[in-house]
Amino acid sequence: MAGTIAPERTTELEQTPESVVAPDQPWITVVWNDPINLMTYVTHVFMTVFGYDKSKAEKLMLDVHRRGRAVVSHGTREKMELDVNTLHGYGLWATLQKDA
Amino acid sequence: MKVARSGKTTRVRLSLAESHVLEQIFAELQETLDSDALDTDDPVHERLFPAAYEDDEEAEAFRELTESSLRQDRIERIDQCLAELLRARSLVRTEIQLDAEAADRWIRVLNDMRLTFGTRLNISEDDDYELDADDPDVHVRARYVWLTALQDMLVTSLMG
Repeated sequence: MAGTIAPERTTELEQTPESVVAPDQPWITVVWNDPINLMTYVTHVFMTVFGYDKSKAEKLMLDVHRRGRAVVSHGTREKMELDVNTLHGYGLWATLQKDA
Repeated sequence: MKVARSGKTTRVRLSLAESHVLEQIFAELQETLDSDALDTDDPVHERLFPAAYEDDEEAEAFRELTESSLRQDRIERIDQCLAELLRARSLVRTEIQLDAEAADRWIRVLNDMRLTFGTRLNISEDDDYELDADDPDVHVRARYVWLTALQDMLVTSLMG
């Protein structure tokens, strides 16, 4: 009775709760405002590091400048640690945290 | 000081005096980055190797993993820029030709210099970039302002 259709259903049922309980991107990288890094430089870094186009990079830079911080990337903790390390290499003040 | 871009090449032209000042600043930054010279309590250390986590213990563990390679990368970038500067210097002027990758590296080294000087000078958000002859730090400030202008010209030229 369980022969033909049951396996497919089982797979489906197992996958759904997993993707709800453990979403793939629970961490974020945050860049904080600082008085030394130039606005043009910060835009350049977002374009170079993340491959963002100029308008997206400028919008993020302005968020950093005006609101004091901006979330610049989402992903696994390991990926965010890499992003933060890269941004530190560019002299930006970056941190990572769990996405609230 | 002049920065111009044609095609994929950015040309930085410096006077002889400017190129000597830059050479000296490269050497100073190398010295600052020397791990024995830079105290972990120094604000410059905190600025060049910031805390990645709010939690102190996690931040320290992250630093232990990343700091020495960040430091080594910074030193290598300075070495490369310094070599390019010296190669490009003639008796009358210095004209450095940079492709996109080299320009990015120069911009980063200039930024490390600005972070170092700016932190020492306690630069604030609303700094006016003016020089005051009575300021005891006027010489450091003059360098900071000059590095800022050069970096801004390079970034602007790179972004087209």
